Amino acid sequence: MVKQRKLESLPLEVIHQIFRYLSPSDLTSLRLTRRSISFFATSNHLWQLHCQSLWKSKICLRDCRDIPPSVWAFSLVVNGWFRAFSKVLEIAHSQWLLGEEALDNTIWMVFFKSSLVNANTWPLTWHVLVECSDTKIVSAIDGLPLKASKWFVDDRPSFRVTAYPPNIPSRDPSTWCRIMQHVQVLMISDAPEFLHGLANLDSIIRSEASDSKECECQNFNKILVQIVERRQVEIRDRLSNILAVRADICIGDDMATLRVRSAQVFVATTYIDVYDFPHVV
Amino acid sequence: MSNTQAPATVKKLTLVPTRLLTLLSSDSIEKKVARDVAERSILIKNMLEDCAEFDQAIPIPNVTSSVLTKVIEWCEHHKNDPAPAADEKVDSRKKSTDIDEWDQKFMQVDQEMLFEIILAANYLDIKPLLDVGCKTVANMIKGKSPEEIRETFNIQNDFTPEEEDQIRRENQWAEE
Repeated sequence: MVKQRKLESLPLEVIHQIFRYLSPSDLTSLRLTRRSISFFATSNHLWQLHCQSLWKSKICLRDCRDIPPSVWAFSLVVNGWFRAFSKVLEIAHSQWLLGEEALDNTIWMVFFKSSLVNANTWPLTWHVLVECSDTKIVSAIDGLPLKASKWFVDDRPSFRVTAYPPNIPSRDPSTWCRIMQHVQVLMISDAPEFLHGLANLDSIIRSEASDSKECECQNFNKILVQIVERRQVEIRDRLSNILAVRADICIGDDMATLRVRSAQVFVATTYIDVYDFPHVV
Repeated sequence: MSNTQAPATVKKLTLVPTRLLTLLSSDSIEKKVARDVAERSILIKNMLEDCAEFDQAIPIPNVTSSVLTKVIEWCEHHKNDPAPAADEKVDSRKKSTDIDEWDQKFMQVDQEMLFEIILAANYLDIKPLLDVGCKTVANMIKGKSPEEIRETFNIQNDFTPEEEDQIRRENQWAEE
């Protein structure tokens, strides 16, 4: 006589193999069926794979992807990778522009809509690269020439594209980059809040798990700092490239306020971004 | 080829004899099966490599005769399949749950039998059959609500309402 077989009584490796064929939404449904099944469907092995394929699919998550999975603390607790996956999606759905200060120290690709031939193709080649400094000065740092007056409002050195209508700040659906739409321009920026949010979750999980992992935590912070530094080097290189191409560029005391006055600065380039967030712990 | 032929007769008829093996199910029923078919099972294959002669019935203690019959049917149909590629692990990550037509029909059994086939494939180490079984179960889960999954697999909900609320909150972002 064969005893009644149940899904949850199958050997662990078989359950894992079945669950590996399932999507995140199927696994979340399984999490609600029964305690034992919920435990299997929350497994770090499954969610680490889902996290990694998610990170691969979005430009904004490339720095998250650059941190080796073994360095993250998510494996220290049973639901760590599931929480990491949820965190990324939570951020993706959150309103990123909480105030004007969210624009500080951000770099934007500017596209003139009338010149966009095929706006659905990514990556697009931007028309102008502008930087928004924390003093609300907007500087073009690369690309087509801009008449400075167009980027100032009421004689004050403030950014014309602000965080309220008629500009609609949102997230680009395919890249998860930050975007702002205006009648004539489309602006795209990076979204550092993803790495920031995951770094915070990482430190929460470290404190939940134990503090005996001190050295691993230092290792994690070191990698985080490396990523930020690499970004800074990228932009410094870019600025020196521009200087090399044209002499008639006015440069401020600090590199960030560099202004482009010339009409002919064309440096072959891809899109860049800069992270600015406090180090964890 | 008839399964009832004695091994000696086969030897006489062919130069390269297809040896017949006898498998003994957990309910003590003997099944005759060609050696190349039985060797779809890595467990049996390794067992045979370790022993020069196998004249006695091979006991398969974890598998009943009705399940063994199904497993042999699958092995017969797939006996000429190429060996699984080395990068198969990468393939399974693609999460494709496509199943070929013959296998789909083969897996149209009740859930009890489906689980028994999966367990037998796991025990006998027949990886392609285990894959088909797991994909079949995965397809039964796909796109269903928690209630529908419970109904499909006759799962008893053992959560308290508070626990269920908690999981719903945790699921909020991941479920779409």
